[in-house]
Parts: sequence; C-alpha cells; structure tokens
Amino acid sequence: MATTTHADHKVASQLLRRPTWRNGIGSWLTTVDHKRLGILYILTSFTFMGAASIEAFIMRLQLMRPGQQLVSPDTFNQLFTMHGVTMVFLAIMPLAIGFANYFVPLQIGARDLAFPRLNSFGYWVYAMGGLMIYTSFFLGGAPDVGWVAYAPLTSLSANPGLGVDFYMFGLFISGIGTTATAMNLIVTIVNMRAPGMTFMRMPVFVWMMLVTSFMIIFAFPPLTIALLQVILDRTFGTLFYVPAMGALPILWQHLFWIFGHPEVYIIILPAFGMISEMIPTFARKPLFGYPVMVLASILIAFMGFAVWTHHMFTTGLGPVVNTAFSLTSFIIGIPTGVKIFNWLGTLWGGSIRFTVSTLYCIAFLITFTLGGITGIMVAMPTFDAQAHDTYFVVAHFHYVMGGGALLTFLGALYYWFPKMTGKMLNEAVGKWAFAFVAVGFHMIFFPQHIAGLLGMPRRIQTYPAGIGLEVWNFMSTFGTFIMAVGLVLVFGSVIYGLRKGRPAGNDPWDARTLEWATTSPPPYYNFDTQPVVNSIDAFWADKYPESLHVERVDPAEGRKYEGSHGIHVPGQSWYPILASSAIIVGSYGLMYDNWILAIVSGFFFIFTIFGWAFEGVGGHHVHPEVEGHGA
Amino acid sequence: MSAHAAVTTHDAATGGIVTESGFRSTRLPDVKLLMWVFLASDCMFFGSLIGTYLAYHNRSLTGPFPVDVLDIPLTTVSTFVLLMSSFLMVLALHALRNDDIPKFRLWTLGVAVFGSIFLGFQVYEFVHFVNAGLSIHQNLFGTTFFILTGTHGIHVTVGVLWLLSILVASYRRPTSSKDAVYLEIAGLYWHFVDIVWIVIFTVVYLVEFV
Amino acid sequence: MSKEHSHGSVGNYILVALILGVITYVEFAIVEYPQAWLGSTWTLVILVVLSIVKFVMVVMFFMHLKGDDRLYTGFFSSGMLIAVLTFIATIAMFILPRAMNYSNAEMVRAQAAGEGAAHAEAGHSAELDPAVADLIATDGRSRTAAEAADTPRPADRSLTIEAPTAPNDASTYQVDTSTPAQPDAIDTQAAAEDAAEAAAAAEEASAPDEAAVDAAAEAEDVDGADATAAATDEPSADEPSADTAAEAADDTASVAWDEAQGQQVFNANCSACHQANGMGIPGAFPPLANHLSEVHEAGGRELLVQTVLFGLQGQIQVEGMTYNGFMPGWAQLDDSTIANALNHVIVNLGDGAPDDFTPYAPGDIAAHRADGLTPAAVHDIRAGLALD
Repeated sequence: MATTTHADHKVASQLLRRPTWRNGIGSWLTTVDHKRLGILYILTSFTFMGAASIEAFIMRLQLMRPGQQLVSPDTFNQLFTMHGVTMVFLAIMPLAIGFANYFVPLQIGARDLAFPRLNSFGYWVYAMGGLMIYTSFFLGGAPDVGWVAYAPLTSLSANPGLGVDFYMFGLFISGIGTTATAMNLIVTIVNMRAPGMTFMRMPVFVWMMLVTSFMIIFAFPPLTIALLQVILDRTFGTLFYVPAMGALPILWQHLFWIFGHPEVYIIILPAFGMISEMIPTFARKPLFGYPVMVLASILIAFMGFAVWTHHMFTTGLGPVVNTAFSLTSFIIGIPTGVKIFNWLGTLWGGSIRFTVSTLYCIAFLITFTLGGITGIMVAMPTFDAQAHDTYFVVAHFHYVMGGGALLTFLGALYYWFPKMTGKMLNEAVGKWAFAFVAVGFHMIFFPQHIAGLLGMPRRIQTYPAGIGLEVWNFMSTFGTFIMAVGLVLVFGSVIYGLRKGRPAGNDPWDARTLEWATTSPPPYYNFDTQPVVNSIDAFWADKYPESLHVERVDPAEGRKYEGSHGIHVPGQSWYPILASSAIIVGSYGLMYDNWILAIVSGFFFIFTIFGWAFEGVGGHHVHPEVEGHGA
Repeated sequence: MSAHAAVTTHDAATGGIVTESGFRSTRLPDVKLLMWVFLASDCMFFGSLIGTYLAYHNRSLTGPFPVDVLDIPLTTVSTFVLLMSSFLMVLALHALRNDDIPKFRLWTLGVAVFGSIFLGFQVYEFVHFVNAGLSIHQNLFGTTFFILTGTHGIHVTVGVLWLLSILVASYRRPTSSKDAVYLEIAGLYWHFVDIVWIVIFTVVYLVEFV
Repeated sequence: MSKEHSHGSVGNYILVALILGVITYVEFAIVEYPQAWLGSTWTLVILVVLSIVKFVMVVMFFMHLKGDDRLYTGFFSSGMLIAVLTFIATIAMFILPRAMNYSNAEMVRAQAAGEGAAHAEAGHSAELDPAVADLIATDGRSRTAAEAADTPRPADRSLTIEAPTAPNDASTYQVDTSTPAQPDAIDTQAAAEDAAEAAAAAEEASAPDEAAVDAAAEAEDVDGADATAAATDEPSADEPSADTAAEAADDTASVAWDEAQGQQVFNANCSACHQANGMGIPGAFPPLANHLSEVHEAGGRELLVQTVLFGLQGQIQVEGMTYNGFMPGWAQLDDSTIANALNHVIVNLGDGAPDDFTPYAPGDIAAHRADGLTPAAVHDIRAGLALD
C-alpha cells in the first residue's frame, strides 16, 4: 500500500513507519487529511467555547445582583481572564482556521494543504497548548491577570503563582501552531489553485483566509516576543518589565496590542469571507463588487497594523500620538463599511431564501454594524477617556466579535454541515435556535452599553446597590439564559443531525463554489478529477454557464493535470503529534523548574524534527476512475 | 462535473505545472514559498527584539554601559566572518546546481565552519561581558543585549545544525541537483540570519561609538 | 507569472562578497578612527546608508530576490515594511521628547499664544478665546489645583492595611543599600533627651565614638536596647546640626530615631511609587535616594517636611529628568512616623546622609503642621531653591 518511489532514510523510516490506518483512534492521531483536521479543529473549538461560555455564565450570575458573593474576587479574576483567553485564542480563531482547513482546499480545487504534516502539527500544538492552559485550574489556579496580562502585574513578585506562567507558555505554544498553519494556508492558496483559477477568480472566503494568514504571520511574532520576555523575567530574572531597574511596562502594552489589534481582524476577516459565500448563495446573486471586497480586505489587513495604540489612549502618550492613531482608526472603518454596503448590494434584487444561514447573515449585518458604530465612538480619544475600562467597551467588542464572528460561524455551521457530514440540520429547530440566540445575544450585550456609560467598570466582581446598575446587569444576565437555550438547541440539533439528518446530496443549497461539486462528505482525495476553472464562482459557471457569460469547461480537461501515477494522497505520520507533545512536556518542565525534563524534551523534540525530515514522502496513489470511490 | 458536450476553454494564462504531488498554479516550489513566508514573519520577530533594545536604549540605571564593554574591532571581524559565510553559501548552492558534489560538500562545510567561528566569537564576547559584570539581570542593557544577540545566536546555531545535517545526509543518500531546492531554502534562512546581524551590528555596536 | 531563477555566475558572487567586505571595513574605520570633519550626524547617516546597502545586496544577490519571481519580493517586502513602520512608530513613542505629553502646560500656553498671534494676522481678534484661556489656567481640570487641594481627601483606607511582610518590589534585583536591620525600637523621646546630653558632651570632648558609646549606655539604661544599635546609628550624632533642627521643640543636637519603623513605614507608604530602593520610576516618580540629601543640602530641610505633609504638584526636574505628577500629602501619619521615614531615606538609601545631617525629630514635623500649604504652594517653595 505504501508505494514510495523515493529513497528513504532507512533508519528513520523504520523507526516510526508512516501509519496507514483508515479508521480508529490511531488514524485520527496521525491524520494529515485537511478535512479530518478541520473537523478536529471545529470540535475542539466548540468544546473550548463551551468552557468559555460556562465561565461567562458564572460571571453573569455573579453580577446579576449587586453585592453577591457567588464567587470570590480572586475566582472572578480567573474567570474573566480565562473567558477572554479561551474565546479569543482557543475558540473563535481556531474555529475560523478549522473551517479554512476544511474548505480552502476544496474551494480552490486542491486535494490537501501544501504541507499536510505541518497542518497536523499546527492542530496538535493548538489543542495541547489549550489543554495545558486549562490544567492551570487544577494546578494552583488559572491566570487571573486579564486576557491582556499587563506587566508588571505579571511579574514574579506581583504574581508568584503558576497561573501567569500557564498563560505565557500556553499562548506561546498555541501561537506557534497558529503561525505554522497560516504559513501553510498561504503556500496552499498561492500555489495549489486549480488550473484557470487566477487570484481574482478565487472565492472570497479563500481571499479572506489568504489575507488573514498574512496578518497572522505578521501579528504573532510581537506577541511571541512579549510572552518570551515575561517568561524570561519570571524564570531567569531578566529585567524587561522590572520598573525598579528602569524598565517601562508600557512596552508590554505596545507589543501586546501590535499583536492584539490585528488579532481582532484575524478573527473577523474569515467571518467576512463566510458571509461573502452565504449571502450570494442564498440571494442567488453573485457577490456585489468582488474586486472592491478584495481590495477592502487588503486595506483592512494593512491598516490593521497601524491602529494599535487606540487601546492605549488613556496611558498618557500625549495628544500627538492619540490624534494619529485616532485618525488611522477612523480610516480603517471605511473599507469595513464598504463591505457592509456590498453585502447589502448583493441582497438587493436577489431572490432570497430565508434559511437558518440567511437569518444568521442578516443578524450579522445588524449586529456587526452596531458594533462598528460603537467602535468608531471609542476611536475618539476624548470619548474613550470616559469609556475605557467600562462595560461600554465590553459591549462594543462583544458586538463585533460575538455578533460578528460567532453569529457568522453558527450560520456557517448550518451552511457547511451538510457538506462535512452528508446530512442536513433541521431547519425548523434551527430557526427557533436562531431566535433564542439572536434575541438572547442582544439582551446580554445591549444593556452593557448603558451600564458602561453609567460608569460600571470592567473586571469587577461586584458593584454596590443604588447607583443605577442593577437593572442593566439583571437584564444582561437574563439574556444569558435565553441565549443558552438557543445554543443548547444548536448543540442538540447537531447531535440529532449526525444521526438522523436527512441526506444532503452534493449540493443542497444550489451553491456557487467548488466544494459543492464533489460528494458530501468528499472522498479523502476530494475530487475524482482535477477541477479546471475559467470563471469566478466556478461551480455556478459549470451549472449555469450562460448566467456568467462563459463557456462550460470540458470535464475531460482535468485529466491533463493529473500526474501519470494517479492522485497522490499524502501519508499519515506520528511526528507532528510527537513533536507537539515534546513541546508541551518541555513547557511543564520549564514552568516547574525541572530542567532535566525540559532538556530531555528538547532533545526529543529535535529527534522528532529529524524523524519528520527523513521519514520519506509516504502516502499512496489512487485512481478513482479505475478503482471507484472510497478506494 | 456536468456530462454535457462542452467547448474546451483552458485558460492559457494559468501558467501552472503538473508535479508528482499534483497540479501547482505557479512554477515556484512549495518549500521555497514557505521559507520566504517564514522569513517575512521573522522580520517582525527580530523587529520586536530590536525595537525592545532601542526602546530601552540609554535607560539602564546602572552600568556596565554599552561603551564600557562593546568591542568594535572584534565584532567587525565576526561580522566579516558571517558575511563571508553567506558568500560560501551561494558557492555551495551554485556547485550543487551544477552537480559538483564534492565542491557542494566543501562549501557547505565551509558555511558551517564559518558559522561556528561566528558563534565562537559570540561566546567569547558573552563570557567577557559577564566577567565585566554585565549579566541578564544587571541592567536593561544586559537584558536586552543578551536576549537580542542570544536569539540571533540560536538562529545561527539552528542554521549550522541544519547545514551539517544536509552535509551528512549527502553521504547517506544520493544527492544531485534535483535536491538543490532544499539547500536553497537552507541558504535563504542563512542569508536572513546574516542580514539580521547586519542590522544588529549597526544598531547595537556601531552607533554606540559615534 | 512565475519565472525560473537565473543562475548567477561565481564572478558576480565574488564581486558582491568583496563589496560587502570593503563596506564592513569602511564602517569599522569611520567608527574606530573618527574624522573630525565628518561630524557625528553624518557618520551616523553614512553608517545607516552603508548597512542598508549591505542588507540590500545580500537580499538581492545572495538571496537572489533580484532574479527570482516577484512573488517572493512581495512576501519579503511586506514583512519588512510592516516591521520597519511598526517599530519606528513604537520607538518614536519611547524616544520623542515629553513635549508630546499633555501635562506640559508651558507648551500648551506657547502654542495658544502662537495661535493668538496667527489669528491676529488673519484679521481676527488677537485675544485668546476666553474658554481656551480658562482651559489653560485650569490645566483642563474642572477646578484649580488650589481648590482641589482644599477639598478634604476621602479617607484613605489603604493606610490601615498591614505592611507587607516582604518588600513589594523586585527586591531580588535591588542593590542592597540598607544597613543591617536595627533590632529593637528605641524610645525616641527619652533617648533624644539622653542623646542630647551625650551630644553636648561630645561637642566638648570631640570624641564621637565615646559619645556614641555614652549615648548607647544611656539608651541601654533607658530600655535595655541593644547598645550596638545606637552605636552604629547616625555618624552625625556627634556633631551639632547648625540648621533648623535646633529650632525644633526638642532642642537637640543629635536625634536617635527608629530605623526599623522608618524602613517599615517607607515600605508601606512610599515604596509603592518611589520603590523600596528609593530609585523611583524614571519619568513617573522621582528618585529619593541621594536626592533628598541633595535637597537638604540646598537648604530644603523644611521643604522636605512640608512635601511629606502637604504633597507636591507641578513640574520638577530631578537628575536631568522631568516629572510632572502629583504627590499626595501624608498629614494623617504622626510626627515620629514621618520623621523616621524621612530619616530612613536620607540615611539608608543611596549613598547615605551628608556629614552634617541631623535626623528629623517628631518636633520638626509638628512645627509645620499648621503651615496649611497646598501641593502647588510646596512646589513654589521648591522652585525657590537652587536645585538643578
């Protein structure tokens, strides 16, 4: 089965042969198939999202009434820290990467990512890093320094416990995985598009993932360095954030937000891409202004690196700095607004089908726009001086990230679930779930604008009675119950759908892009023959060529682009998961000052790298037209 | 796809190529694209370290200060060594592309040796500084200097190990110009490490004495 | 769209290598053998230009960006561009002068005056808009500093918190400037009287050590305190202080004070801003180590008391750095507490007290409680001293 035509390094290839299981847990641990990894990413993200939702739920219960003591202030600090870290790093961003992992190769007519083992490594490092952060709850306490972990609160003298170390190491490690996957996606999108698919014929989701990946590779290094600096301070006594020796903790804020602001665009751009897939499908109209949408996202990505100091308006940097970054923050609102109009322009005059996904898209348009408006408000330093560190900001970013990203991902779940599983989710239940989620969401977060304007600070465990905050907090907590009902309905729907959903077929939505051109779920080699493309919306061009004024491509064209050996399917490998494990174990070693463990893990990591490099190409070739599907 | 009769409309502007791994939309090797993407990211990585060094420049509360310990003649020599190692690197790649395996091995070894000499200079310098009282927790200069140049040194070490692995592998499996792209990406990494040092040499060492 | 890379000839590579070597030598030469006619600015410019040339040559020729597909150039230049722009902006925020800071009222006034003049040229009234003038006068606050200072501060509950048992600072890194811990408290008042006698004897005898031993013996009689404590105490105990301490109610020439309490009080109240080693935070909180001695030497002995009692607000210069913050007053601490804290800073932090320093006694503090100064007024007094 393992037909290899390359000279393998004998020792390495015998040490840990590339496995060939199709099923069972071993096949999942060693998989390099982008679809399986995509599903792993999505499942893991939703699990972390569940944990973060529980943390949020407890916080909202605590804040429901003034003066409550359901959880101690110390626990509350851990809750809001972990809620933020989990949602941003372990739930929302990996969810986008998971969908990208699954659908980018399909949408560009490729068979996998450019570097399948690197893809696997990216996933395991993320999953293990996230799990590692969660073990902190049982190992002395989770980090309690806020998701932004400002220095010198994170110094060893201010925070001697291990919680901060879990934060630093955990994010350092997860960041490696994210960066690796982003690099993988860039090479894939640049180099593995189907014949005829020029850049301007790519689906918008693919464009967004390309732009997002560039943002990731440029944004994560400053965070990595900042985390490294705190790790060095805490472990080896360097002075990066030791004010007594002249250090300036504001450097942490700069480095963190140089990462942190592009990070929020990293979160939202994939969602923009998904909206750009769903709305044209459900309006039966091509996306309005495709080139402008592409240009707008490139501008957003570039300018996203020029606005970070708007998170620091109240740190006393001075009027010149504040004005400059206020201007850039206003400017970045323009391409974003343009996109909203383009989506509206797509809906206008379309023949709209109100599926669950459509409803989530419409909710996105409203919610994200509101969030964008409050964003422009806080982009004014004068207003921000009042709103900073109040619930107004909390409301703002939940509207853009929760309303923007979360609602979109739920819509994408309903849109793409049939392709991933071959079964439909129940639309009726889905619409009820949507109602609960949408209404609940607004009930949670709209009152928080008001609470913030009334002066309620962020990150407080309780508040006194009689200052006007009770009704808004109560309303907000009440909303969590409603939203929870919706999310439970979604979860139940998914479970039910997996078992008893009605069969979906290849193309249940009459959609426009290439993933719908193959079976549901796709075979592990994605397409029987290499798709060839001559238009935007390649699948639509194949179904209704006259509507796009093109000629249909001859299906036989694809055979010209296959190698003579048939379709090469990448081989599985142990090394990615082993390399990730080495990194995690080594981190525990460093955290607990167990130098032996750290050094041994380091050597093991180097060993896995050599094994990875020399285990040979692996994989096998299939000939579906000869062997049939599932061969 | 559809079974209707159709007109063939292959878009000649694609310019792709069929490889053993499947169709590629450009003629550029995957690994080379990956390396350039990685190097672009590494610009931000070293940018953050250099930015930290400059933000904390002249803010040390106690000595030793840069002018007390930095040695320009010594560092000029080590800079020269690293630059020449880049030169040997392009010679190695050139040789491999022309299937001159002995020369390829010689020059690759040369790069590793020159890289090690550079590391030797770094180690000597670090020891000298520590003896002069500059440690990572002595003052901000110590912290930022050692972490910046230390991270660079780790990059150099990884490069040396990588090149030595390529060298050893060339003895254990047939190596020819077909494998040149793998040496090329190691070379790109090596040159990048060199240009980072060019920046560090100017920003940390030279401007201190102007 | 993509191109095969063209192979450079070895000759080209040798040429590039030679150029790189020569440039490196030139860089070395203009730094090691500075030319007077060149000047440091131009040297700097040349160095930067030369390293850019080296950088670009390695990238274009060794890394072969010049002959390769433009896609690679696109990747690399986007990374370089974002890195360079981002970090130039960041470093600028660390290096550019504090003229950008809001709190530089002089700059605001100068700008407003300039604008007034420009307005006049344009034919409008040269008078400052009254709202703007008001803004400048009040520094943007809703009340003037004097008004704000008159308002009683809310009870500061933090002062009832126990002092931390360990210093709440990066003490692992601090240079140990404290003298060995003084074990027992000496009853200040009684010891002061005894010490006064001893000091008087010392004046006549000019035998500092003897006097110290006498004082220690007296102190020992008083409360059995460790003789070494007093003996290793102020080297200044043997000299009468010619300054205002003589005017203080105690009328003592040397004062014994509670060093342990001084350190504890300082750590509990002052070190949060000024740091346990008294080094402060550059730009934010001025250093006290050595600086208080300096102020004392410049005639600011009372000023120090007034600063601690009433606070200080306004721009000051300390060791070449500008500070423009607000220090609250600590009138709620009692006299001996303040005295011990001040003594601790001057004697134990930095290089120690000047030879003629007489430690503060509680009476020194009590004498100024009725001054009723505002933080701005304290600033004005400070401005009257000859400090740099």
